[in-house]
Amino acid sequence: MNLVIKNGTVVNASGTYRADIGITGERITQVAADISPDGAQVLDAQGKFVLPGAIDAHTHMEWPRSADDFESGTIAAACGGVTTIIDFAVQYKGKTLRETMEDWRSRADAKVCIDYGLHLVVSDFNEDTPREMQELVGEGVTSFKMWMTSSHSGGLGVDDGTIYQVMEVASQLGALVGLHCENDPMMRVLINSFLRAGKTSPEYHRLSRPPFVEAEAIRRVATIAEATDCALYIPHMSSAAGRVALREAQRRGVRVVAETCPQFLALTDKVYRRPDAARFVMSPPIKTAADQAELWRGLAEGDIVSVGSDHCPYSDERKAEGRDDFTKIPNGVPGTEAIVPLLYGKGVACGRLTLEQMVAVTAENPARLFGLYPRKGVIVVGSDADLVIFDPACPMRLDAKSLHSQISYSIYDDITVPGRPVATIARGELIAREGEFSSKKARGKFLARALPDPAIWEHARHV
Amino acid sequence: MFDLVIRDGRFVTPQGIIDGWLAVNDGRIAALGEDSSPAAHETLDAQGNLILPGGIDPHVHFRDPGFTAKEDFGTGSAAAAAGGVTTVFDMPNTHPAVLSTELFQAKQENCESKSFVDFGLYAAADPTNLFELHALAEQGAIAFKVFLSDPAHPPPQAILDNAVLWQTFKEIGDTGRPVCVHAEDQALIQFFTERVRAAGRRDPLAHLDARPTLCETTAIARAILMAADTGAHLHVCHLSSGEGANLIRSAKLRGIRVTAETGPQNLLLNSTDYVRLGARMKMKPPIRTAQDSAQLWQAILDGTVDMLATDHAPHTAEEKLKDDWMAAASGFVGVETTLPLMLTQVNAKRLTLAQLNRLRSEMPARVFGLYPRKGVIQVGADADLVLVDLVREWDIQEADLHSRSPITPFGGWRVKGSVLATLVRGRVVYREGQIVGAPQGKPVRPNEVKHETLRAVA
Repeated sequence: MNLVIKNGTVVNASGTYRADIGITGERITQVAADISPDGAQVLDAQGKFVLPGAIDAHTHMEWPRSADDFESGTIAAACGGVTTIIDFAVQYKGKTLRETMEDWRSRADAKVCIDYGLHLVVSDFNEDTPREMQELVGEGVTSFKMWMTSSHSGGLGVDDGTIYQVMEVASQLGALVGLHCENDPMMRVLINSFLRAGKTSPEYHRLSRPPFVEAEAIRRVATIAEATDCALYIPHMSSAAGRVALREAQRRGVRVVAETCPQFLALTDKVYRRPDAARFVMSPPIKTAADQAELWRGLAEGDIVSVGSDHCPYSDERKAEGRDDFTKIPNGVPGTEAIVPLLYGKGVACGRLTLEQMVAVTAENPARLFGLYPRKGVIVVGSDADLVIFDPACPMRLDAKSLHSQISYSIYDDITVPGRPVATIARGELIAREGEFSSKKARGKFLARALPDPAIWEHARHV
Repeated sequence: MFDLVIRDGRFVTPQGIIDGWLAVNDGRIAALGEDSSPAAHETLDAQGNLILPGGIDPHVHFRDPGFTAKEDFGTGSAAAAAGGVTTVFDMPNTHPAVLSTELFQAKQENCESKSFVDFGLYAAADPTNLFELHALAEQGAIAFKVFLSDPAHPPPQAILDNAVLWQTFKEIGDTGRPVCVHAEDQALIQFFTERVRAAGRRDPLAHLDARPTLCETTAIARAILMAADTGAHLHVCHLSSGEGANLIRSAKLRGIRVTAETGPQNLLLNSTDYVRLGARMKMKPPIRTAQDSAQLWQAILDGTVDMLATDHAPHTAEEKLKDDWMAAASGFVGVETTLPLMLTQVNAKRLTLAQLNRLRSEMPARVFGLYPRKGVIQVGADADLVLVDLVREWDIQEADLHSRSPITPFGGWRVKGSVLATLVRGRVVYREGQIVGAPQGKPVRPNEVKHETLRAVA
């Protein structure tokens, strides 16, 4: 045994109990009431929770012109208790899916500090796509994503016909399909009318994307998923109206679940009246306090199964490009490092979620949904030793000083949370301690993922 | 040095199957590991077989005291051990019925002297003992049983008056213990039974028509309204109808504290079996149609029905196998056959091992306040374990069962999956067809159950 975590309270989605954890090499090899270290390194977790490392299944770590790359982004993740990311490899027009994956893999492999998987964003469906999708699923890329919108994705949005075809293929393969759900034509009408009226400030970004554009898109893709019997997930769901649409589909038996983001859970649309409103511009935009309450409820009730960050920060200089036109503000916010502290501080500590539910939505559910369970997402003998020691009584202000993205600001700078991750262990190695990364670049490995675990659909069953 | 190590096992935990070893100290699980197994005073080689958490059967009638010609706590608990059940909750309609703290105490001492497995005891709540209920809860009653129609041998008497029922729910609600209801409506049963009799019916379906679904659904609806109004935790015993499941499902969605159990007989038999099995499958409420069965399957898989319970209720051959179908006693054994029957269903892929463990161990423990001391393979929990061979095929034979009155509708059934050994708090109590050692079962004492535990699974 190399490492023993002593005296901690072990939390899984399925329950909480007191135990020591013994790690040999990269895996958990023993869970016991009392382990004598016999020379192994010891981490004392007295008074602390030992959680499965979080899985942030929604990152854009090296999006063009964004501030982070696979190194700085995954260092931030590690410091925040995230031990696995799933990044989006984006097919640019004219590129094959394989070229896309190889491009992302070569950049990630050279830098990534924690384990990672890839979703593939399909922007072009041609005669080779079905075969390529099949090959990629065989190589562990088991989820495909599409944008329904073109304005903020660099023209990579797809039409309903493409969605239908990708879902037909994915359904055959057993793979998962994710959709960025916003109704593009309706938004464009609103955007153009605001611009014509000279309404160009960041607040009009939000006003041009009202909740119904999300709800309509969810209903539409759920219908296509139902028609093709395809498993569907809705990343970054942001609104109460979206949740209504989601639950309607779940009730009639569509295999669909949703993810939401820390920024939707901790912030409200008031941020768009701040002088630094551009920092909060992302799509879909942050909505009202009432929407926020519904998202917490969705996490507690199980229809929203996971929290991913959509991490994609931009420097103030980049954000300033849209000073005179909100449509020119690059879309994206930082967030991977904030998931665990915010879910605890705003969720568990406020009684909105139990500790077990927090672990479900940050670790076990994404592991099941994205084919990583039980290797990741759970503390059990035989699983990877990806662990977070979380101190519930170690307050932390989520300001730029404490966070690790390569930007000069934090979108949570006035939020202080009661607890924080104090140690992050990834495949048996202590990689971050007290908010400092302590390992080396490029230690992360590509994860070939399995198909979604069917158990995930039970979480979202509404009877 | 550990007291016991079970090596080369496949341990089924809520987090998945662990291939490795499990160590026991002082009757509790002390460690789980996959590296080389540690030293121990005693070693049990599982030879690669599955180890499940011991079963918790929340509904048995071991007939002791009062009806020991049918069963006693020794024979009943031996049957439990042989069926991989390590904790039973025994119903209070023994003779004398458990209506007071004195009778509770006497019954507990009697059971402790005879039981091979751990046990909880129900107290009865009837129109005569409203002011005893708090004391019974303090004494450790696992839950309270309320009959909405008269049992075969009162007392306890049925609670027919809504004002008395409300007060009963209110009193029990204050104790935090569940109100476990036999949900059949007395007036409707009398009416429909009389109608069947008047028609001179002796056919095998007469029992079903004497107690139609409406008897159950009206009683469940009444109990749900009482639970909603008083905040008490309602537990519906031996659910038999799909319509009843629908009522429970919508109550759960409204946030009412309601849980439910059903039995393997309700899942595996249906009205087409009456011709063949006759009184062997007679119970109250009756086993209903294939459609009810299908709806109950749906309900155990979607969480509407929280757990499996046998309603193990033996009768002597003389009482049970009467020519007059209407006069035959209701109830039959089940505690020994549930696990093999359900493992057969796991083999047939109708449910997963994880789902079965939830239904037979984890949820009874959670709902009745024994979790995580019982109901789970986890460090710190009691080492209540059952070693099973998942692929062995065998035939259920009444002569092989451990009950005193082993009449079962499942005689002759081919099952796939058998119990190799059963451990209670780390001690082997059953192995290779034999009960091992003296009775050392202990009474269990429930903890408070948090509301969130009962939150609708949906």
